[in-house]
Amino acid sequence: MTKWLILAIIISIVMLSCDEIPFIYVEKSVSGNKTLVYNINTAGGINETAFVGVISIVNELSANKDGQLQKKDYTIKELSIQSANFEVIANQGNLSNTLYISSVVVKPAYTAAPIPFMQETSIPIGLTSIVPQSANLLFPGVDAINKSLAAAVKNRDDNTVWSVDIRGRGTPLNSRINITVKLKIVFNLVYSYCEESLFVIDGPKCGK
Amino acid sequence: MKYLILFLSLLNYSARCQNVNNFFDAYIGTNAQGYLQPLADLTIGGLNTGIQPSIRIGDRFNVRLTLNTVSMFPDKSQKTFMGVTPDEFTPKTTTEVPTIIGDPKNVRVAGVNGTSYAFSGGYGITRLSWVTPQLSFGGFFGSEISLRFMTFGNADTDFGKFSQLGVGLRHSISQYFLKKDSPFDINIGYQFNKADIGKYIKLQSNYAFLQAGVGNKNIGAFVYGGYQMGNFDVSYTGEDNKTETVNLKNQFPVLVGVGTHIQLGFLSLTLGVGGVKPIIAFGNIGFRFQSKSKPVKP
Repeated sequence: MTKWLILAIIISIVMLSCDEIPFIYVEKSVSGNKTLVYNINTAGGINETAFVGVISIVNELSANKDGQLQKKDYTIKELSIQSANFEVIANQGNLSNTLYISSVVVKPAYTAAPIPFMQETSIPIGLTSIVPQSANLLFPGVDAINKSLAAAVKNRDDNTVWSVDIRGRGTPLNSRINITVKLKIVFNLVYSYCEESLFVIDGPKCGK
Repeated sequence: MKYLILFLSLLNYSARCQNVNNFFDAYIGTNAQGYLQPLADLTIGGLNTGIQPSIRIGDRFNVRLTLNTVSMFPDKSQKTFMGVTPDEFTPKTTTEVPTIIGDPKNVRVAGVNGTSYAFSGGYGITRLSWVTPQLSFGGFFGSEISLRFMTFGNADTDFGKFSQLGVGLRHSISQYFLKKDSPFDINIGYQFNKADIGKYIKLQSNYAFLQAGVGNKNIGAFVYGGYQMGNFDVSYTGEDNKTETVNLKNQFPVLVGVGTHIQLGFLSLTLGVGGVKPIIAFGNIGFRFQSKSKPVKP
């Protein structure tokens, strides 16, 4: 009796050990940024343009996720703007003490009418000034870029390039402003994939 | 319901050089601690459960090889934590989001002017199980010493090497004030665990407990309770390829439970449940070999 019981237990252990490892559904988010650089050196008005392609944003945010990219059913679900900030670096010869930005507008390059992206703001010029700008973002511009990103996520051939124009001047009026402005736009990427279960026993499973 | 054995899964992973880092890297900074905390509580509680194969240590020298199986069932409160949005996100928002064992769906928070931020989902863990071999030597001075040792894997792979060391002591204190033929036993005990789970987790824990029960040489039942303390350090590579180390301690120091065991010849079986957060079910299959009875002088 005891021998049969031991045999049954050992067979059970071996069978359980050979159970197939399931794939589970995983959904994560990652934040990454795209920095647009404007080199400004003028005694008059500022009207500078930088460009950003939506596919480059998708690719850059995915670049750090090599492990996940190779996973089964890797899918980008959402990509949208999370926050933004300005970094202003004073260069040699700068005589302005404040950067006045009258507007930041965005538009699909060379095609449509500009869409307001940020409201006017003034940034004191120190050696380096980093100023959060999320509160200064404007819904029409953010929404337009988010929709463009959503389209790019669905159709990876949709490589819309956006121009981001900064207009303004230095103060005092007509003083030489020699600065580097970095507009850092932070994006949030939500992606999913199927992972071989390491710990999970009863979590949601992917199809095989 | 499928039943997977952790160390076989880990072997499987190390053999295939999978990127285990993906399991931990959902957050760096503030939210990492809350996200990973349940893993520390499950693991430390699990290692300290099922360490007593019976209530009676006995007075004959014995050697017992035990396979200790534990299954941890996380409490609902361990599936979420209060996550905080990143510093530059406006408005700063604190909200309930999944831990690593929580719901796999992300939680999205709307910010100002069309901005948004999503918290990562978890892995939907409802049960975590493993098996640990344990070798015990008992029956001397009313005491028993137990050892756990496992090592496998390759330090050159992504996962690295798994190694576990456990040392346990039990001593009968009832032998000093109860008659030898009393069915009741009271033991005190201590368990030390140390483990390196690949390159990613280093843990160390201490558990002191009191065990009381009733039994004879074939069957018994017991209760136990004690205090556990442990460190659980998780290292992984976060965004921008920076290595993040999160130092965790178990949040639930009190570990109590009940168990019953049966001895069939040299085979012993133990079943029980402990916890409270998480609830931990355990089952032991043991093979005990003991010295013959001392001849009774006429």
